[in-house]
Amino acid sequence: MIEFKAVSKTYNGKVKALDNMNFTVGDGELVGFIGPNGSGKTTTIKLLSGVLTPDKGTIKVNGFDVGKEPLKAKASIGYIADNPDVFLRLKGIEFLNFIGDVYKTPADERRKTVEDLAERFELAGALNSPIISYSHGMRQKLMVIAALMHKPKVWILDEPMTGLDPKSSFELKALMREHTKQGNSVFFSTHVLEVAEKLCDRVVIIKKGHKLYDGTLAELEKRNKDKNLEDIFLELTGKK
Amino acid sequence: MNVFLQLIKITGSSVEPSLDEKKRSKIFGVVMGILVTLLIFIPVITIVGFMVYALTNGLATLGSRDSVSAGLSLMLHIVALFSVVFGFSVVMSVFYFSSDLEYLLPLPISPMKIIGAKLASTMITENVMECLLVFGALLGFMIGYGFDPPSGGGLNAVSFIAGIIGLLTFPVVPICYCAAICLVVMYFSRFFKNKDRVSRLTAFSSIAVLLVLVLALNLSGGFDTNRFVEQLINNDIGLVKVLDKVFINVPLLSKAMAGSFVSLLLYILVNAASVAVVLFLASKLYLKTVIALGSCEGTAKAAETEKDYERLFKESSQLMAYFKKEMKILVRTPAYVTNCFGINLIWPVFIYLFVVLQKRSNILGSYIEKLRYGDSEVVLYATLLVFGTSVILTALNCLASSAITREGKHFEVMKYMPVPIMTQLNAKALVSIVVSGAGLVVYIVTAFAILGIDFRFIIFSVLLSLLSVIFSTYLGIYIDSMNPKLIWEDEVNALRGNYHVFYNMALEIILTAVVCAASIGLFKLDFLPVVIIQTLILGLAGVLSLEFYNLCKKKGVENIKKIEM
Repeated sequence: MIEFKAVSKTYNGKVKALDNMNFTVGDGELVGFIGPNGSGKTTTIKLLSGVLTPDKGTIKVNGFDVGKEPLKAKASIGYIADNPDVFLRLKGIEFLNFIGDVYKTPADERRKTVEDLAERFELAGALNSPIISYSHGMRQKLMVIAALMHKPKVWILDEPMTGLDPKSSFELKALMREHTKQGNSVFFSTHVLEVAEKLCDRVVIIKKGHKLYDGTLAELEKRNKDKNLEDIFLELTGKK
Repeated sequence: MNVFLQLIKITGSSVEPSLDEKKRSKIFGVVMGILVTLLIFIPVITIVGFMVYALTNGLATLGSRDSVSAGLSLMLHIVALFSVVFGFSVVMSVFYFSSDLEYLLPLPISPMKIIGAKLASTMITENVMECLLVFGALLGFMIGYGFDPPSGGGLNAVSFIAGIIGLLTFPVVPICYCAAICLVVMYFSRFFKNKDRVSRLTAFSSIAVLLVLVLALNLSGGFDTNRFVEQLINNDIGLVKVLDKVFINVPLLSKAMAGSFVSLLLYILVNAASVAVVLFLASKLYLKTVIALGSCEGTAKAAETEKDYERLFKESSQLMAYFKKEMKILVRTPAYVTNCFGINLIWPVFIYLFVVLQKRSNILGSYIEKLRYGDSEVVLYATLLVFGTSVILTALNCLASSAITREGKHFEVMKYMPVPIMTQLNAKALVSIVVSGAGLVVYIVTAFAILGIDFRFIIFSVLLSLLSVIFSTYLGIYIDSMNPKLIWEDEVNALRGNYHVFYNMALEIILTAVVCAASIGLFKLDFLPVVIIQTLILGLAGVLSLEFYNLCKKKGVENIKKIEM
């Protein structure tokens, strides 16, 4: 469960990135976060993961206030940042083990998850190599495995499909669905409308830090008969 | 803006603080800038200047007009040598490993322009400390030579013009050497075409060159000042003769400083020729080598056995996990190995040099004898030496004062991990304490044991050294937390563009000076016996460790929470 209530964020006291933003992601819900470049998607996700602090408003993840109980909130999140180039000097397995220690995942459990996910993402053979030798897609897969290793209730993913090959992208989408079927929450940002259309229970569309729409894509299409999703999005965000 | 100037700006951008960083650090930077100038820059200029002044003065009295600049040449050779030793890792890093390459290479810009810009930004990076040394040397020469020296001649307008040109251009030839060698080696050897291997080799070569140089000095018989001056006058020092041929810019600049217009013209010509050679080599070799360079060594073997998996999936506490992560990154990053670990290997070399240089006068011998028999005054000096060395060397290796800066673009990981910030800072502190402390303890125990010093004093020194390392570490981390430099393109720039090491050193120097003055004062005035003073120093180190730990816990953590990227 994610609760994002009346949140505002300004950078350097000048640039207003989010203005009184509200949305929730319920248990068992898969919510897509859509918006043009610079609309505030990454800011929202960084606020959810505790990387940034809001000027106003409250953010709760899994019932924990990110501002008041940051460690508990963070421990219940599986977070994938927009840049997978992290700790490149470590080997893949060392990075995963580090994450396992940080999230206090028991050794047998982390081994089971790593073996399973590395197999699904075809990364098992590369885990003993330094991350610096990985391609962008391999690094992204490693970040996915790391984020899911401690079995978090809430997944927060910033552009998770970027750089993934079709099979890995399919696997990740399947994992997202499996996760929500177990009563957990998934919140992810994307630019690909088709992904949102096929995958999400609901979408939140934002522009310049303001929420434009919060609901299902089916509802949106129903309201705008004879228009395809791309046209609706472009009209909504003022690009057409 | 001209493409070339824009390129210099881009390639040098990693040493420029961001606007936000500038704002945060304004007052702090001004205060620390004054302290660093007073406590580090001015003393460095003074020491170098005095050495050159003394040699020039002596040579002007004893020698001919031709040999009067031999002292200046000697100092400039030393500066040039160090520029080459440390320049290799900077050049490799800027030419081949900086992340701007992936944006620059696809652009329709000639390799000559790219290398020209990178060469210029390397020189700017290298010039800060080098400028101080060269300035000190030139100033010392000017004062020593004066307008009417006994050997005739004296400073003239050419000397002043040569001084200004020399100050601005001195790194050109050493850096061009590094650049040319890097370009050729990268082109001709397939073995090197791997970033990690090249970086590692560069780091170890730099340290090896330094050690070879010390051996090449061949001072085993001790140092005789009179003989040395005589050799300088007759240009009879083997190493200097070789260096005169390697760094031809040095004797030319020295002669220009003594008033030779022809030498000044030749000096300018040599600099221009060096740059031209590098640009020519770049136009022929750079693109081929930079494109062929793989990002890292080949794929390692996958874990296969049950034992492998047990080893790979071993549980650790959050603190130990962070500590292991930090150590692995440090030892696998050549720039960190050279700058953070290398310094621990280099300073004993200087102590060795000092021991060798004083061999004839044997000043140390009498002190060691007194220390062995527990002479109060010498015991106090030795205590202060342990304190000062531990504190200043911990600051010098910059492990603590770059602890947050080293995170760079990974900084946000510190924020989203469910680990208290203080635990992360403690892990970083532990790295500095283990590396600096282990080095110091090994050196202290070995040196004192060889010299036959009482074991109680050895234990006391180890304890004092460790406590001094602890507080110096937490102070360094706190300074870095105030304004970490998180925007950098490669690890060398993370350290070179980071002035926190100077800030930390300035504060440690003040503290050491105060402790030394107070202790010696208390002892000389017969206020307190040496044992009490030693206990007070140990107590002070303990209290400071606790205080700086608490400072990190309260203010340091707060500082990090406030940083947003």
